[in-house]
Amino acid sequence: MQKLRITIKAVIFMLALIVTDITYMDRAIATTSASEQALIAAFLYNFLKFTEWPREIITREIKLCIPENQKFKELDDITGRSIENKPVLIKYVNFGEPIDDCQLLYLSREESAEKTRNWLKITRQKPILIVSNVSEFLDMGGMIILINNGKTLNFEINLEHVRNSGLKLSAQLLQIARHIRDR
Amino acid sequence: MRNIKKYYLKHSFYSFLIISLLINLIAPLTAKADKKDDFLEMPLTQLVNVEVQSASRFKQKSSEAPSSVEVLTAEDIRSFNWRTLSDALNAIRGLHVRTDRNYTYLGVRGFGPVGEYNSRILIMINGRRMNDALFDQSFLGEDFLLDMNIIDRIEYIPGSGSSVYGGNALLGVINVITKKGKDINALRLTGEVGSLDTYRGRLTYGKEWDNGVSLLLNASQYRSQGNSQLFFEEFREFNNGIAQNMDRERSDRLFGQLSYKGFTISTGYVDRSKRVPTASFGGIFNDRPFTMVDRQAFVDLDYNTSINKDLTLQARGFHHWYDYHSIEAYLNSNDGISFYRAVNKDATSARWWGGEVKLIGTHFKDHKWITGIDFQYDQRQHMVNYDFIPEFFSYNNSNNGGLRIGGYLQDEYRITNNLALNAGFRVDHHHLIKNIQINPRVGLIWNIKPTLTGKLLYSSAFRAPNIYERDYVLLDSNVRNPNNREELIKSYEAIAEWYPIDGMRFLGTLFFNDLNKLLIEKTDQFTNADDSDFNKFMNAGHARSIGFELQGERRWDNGRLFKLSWTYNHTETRDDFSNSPWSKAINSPQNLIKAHYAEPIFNNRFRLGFEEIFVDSRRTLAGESAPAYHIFNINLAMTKPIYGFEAHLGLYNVLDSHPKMVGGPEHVQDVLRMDGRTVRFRLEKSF
Repeated sequence: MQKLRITIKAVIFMLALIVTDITYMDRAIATTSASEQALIAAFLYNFLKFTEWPREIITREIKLCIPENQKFKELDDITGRSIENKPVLIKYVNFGEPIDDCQLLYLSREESAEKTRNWLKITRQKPILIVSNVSEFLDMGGMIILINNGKTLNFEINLEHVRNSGLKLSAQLLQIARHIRDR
Repeated sequence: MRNIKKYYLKHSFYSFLIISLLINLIAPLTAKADKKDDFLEMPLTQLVNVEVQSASRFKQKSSEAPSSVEVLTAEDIRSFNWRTLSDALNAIRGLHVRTDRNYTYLGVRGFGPVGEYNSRILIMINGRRMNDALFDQSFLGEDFLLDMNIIDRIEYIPGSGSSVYGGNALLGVINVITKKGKDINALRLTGEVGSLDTYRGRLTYGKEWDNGVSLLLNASQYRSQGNSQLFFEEFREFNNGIAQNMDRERSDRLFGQLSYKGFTISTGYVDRSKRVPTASFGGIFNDRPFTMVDRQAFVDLDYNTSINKDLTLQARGFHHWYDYHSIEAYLNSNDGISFYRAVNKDATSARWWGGEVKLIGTHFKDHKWITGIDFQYDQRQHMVNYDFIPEFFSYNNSNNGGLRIGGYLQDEYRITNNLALNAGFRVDHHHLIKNIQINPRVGLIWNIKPTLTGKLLYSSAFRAPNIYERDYVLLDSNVRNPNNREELIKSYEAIAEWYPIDGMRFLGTLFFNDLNKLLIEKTDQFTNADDSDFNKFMNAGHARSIGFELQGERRWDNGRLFKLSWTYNHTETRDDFSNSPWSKAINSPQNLIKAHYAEPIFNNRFRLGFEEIFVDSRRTLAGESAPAYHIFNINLAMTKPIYGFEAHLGLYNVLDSHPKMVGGPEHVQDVLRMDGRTVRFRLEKSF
């Protein structure tokens, strides 16, 4: 009986605490899950934050480019934010158009492998960070691949490709990456 | 001295819980007010831990399911280091596990009769029935087909579920879902050591190739000496009541799964043997050969495909093997005066195969329908019992076989935007009963607010007698009963589910279970047949259970978890033989309280898990009361490997209580005292 009484007391106390906890929930919104697109947008935004472009490239804004046929609405949330006082812009591009003013190019897995290879060909050695979630992207010559393991989203880096383009990734990014090739 | 220490420990435990709760209370205050859905401003370290929402169309959100489903994930298994399925089930609201150092038994919402083998619960692996074809037994301990490391999640669906699943789903359905090759994605070697000379070795390999082929292999061996000196007051005249080295257990398991596109082939094998120290079933105390061995194997072939965007087809074929035997020494007599030692073998062998086809359609606006047919052909249901020492003498040799077949239809109709009706029924034919069984289910699901759901459910279910209840002959105390029929249950439930924010869930249920024609083992006093002195299983039991459950749960992004549940029930039984009215049910704890708390520490490299299970007192067969008990477990787990190594340390029953489990009719003991504090350490290396 004694044991039961202690337990019940503890239970009541805990319930009371949980209830008080709820009153704060509006302030402490904890989101545990997100759509893949929203996460991709967030990752791309972070990649922009943690990449250093060669000094000679001076731009007034930071441009995140995506082929027009692959655009998704979650990207729009990035527009208007700024990184180091430079506003971030989303630019829709088409194959063949000049893309030299892009700082990052995202190619989604919906694009055919051949098209992706073509994009990589025309951006080779240019100071543009190329990111994709298509499988085997690093083998194709890509720089960062986003990997969905069915539960969470993570990324791997091919550092050689990044270096060849004259880009520098911050240590923080390298630390979090699941795997880094040619370190 | 000992008691003071215990008290101190207990109080420090509660103070710990309270402090940790205070911390979690303050934490939200200090936390920055993140704007909802602002993943853009979330640090990368957190971003990599955010779960990607799966777009799977038919996986029901639990607030939409016509039940109060409870799900345990691989993450929970890691946090609390449950050693067996029964450990995990013991953590679920409303369930309580009983063990008798032979098998493990599950009580559901206060109903946990003794002398049966979990036949009123349907247990499934990946949606396929695993209850054997002889005892309808659900194996939950080291005799379960799967190792804990390859379980992706455990779903518990309380209430009767015959309208979809057929027989045995009287009290609930447990569905264990295995991991896939890519979840392991490595070759992993595991070694485990623990108190009571317990060892486990395991090899796991999982991989998914680029062409989509996925493979999972798992092999393990388990050995435990158990408690080598077990004392039983009731057997004081024999070896001073000490069962020496009689608690040994051994279990070997294999599991393999290969999938490609819509096809999956799975196979599993378990071979488990347990020495029985309790001298149950009239055995001689401390007599070495008393061992029970259960072996099972299965092969499943599944095919899953979308015929078009509104129609999904699932098809499956399976074959299942089950063999059991026990060897037991007992005192036999020809004249009732002089006794001699005889050794008896009790053995069964079953083979069954079957298939099922299931269609899920969403053609019609506001409707989602599911229909299917499944059958199981019991090819062999063989049972023998004989003495082989000092001479051969056969008591039982029975053979059965036949077909079980069922078809069902269920529809989920969205009447309005926030009101859904889930209705269905199933028709069953079972070769051990004469009548066709029809079982309906109706559920009304009302989304009062997007975060608040109310449900009203009614369903019925049946259970056919199993071969054990039909044909079992035990020496000179049991006879068969070819006339027994099905058991029936009607269950009523009201549920409220509230998700105030993402990651937080509150649940309240109100339930009433009405069980009739329960098969109980009794001497038949009404007929004056020759066998009137013998026990047999008869449809003479009734049980009713009324109660409620309350549960609060919160999961944080970083892996922190807090969960608390309380089940209260009032369960009574009665039988047609005694004129006595309803009386308190045997082995029915009125209160069950469970608290779980997991906290990531050291930058989420480790996780501490605390588990507290309180089980109220239970009435025993002798009309006594088995005292209430607490089990408190602490687990420390590594969540990220270091140089490929992962370690887990589990302290079980830290307060060193020795719970007393209710004995069954097969026991001389009225209660059975369980082991105290134990430790397990596990080391894994991934390649």
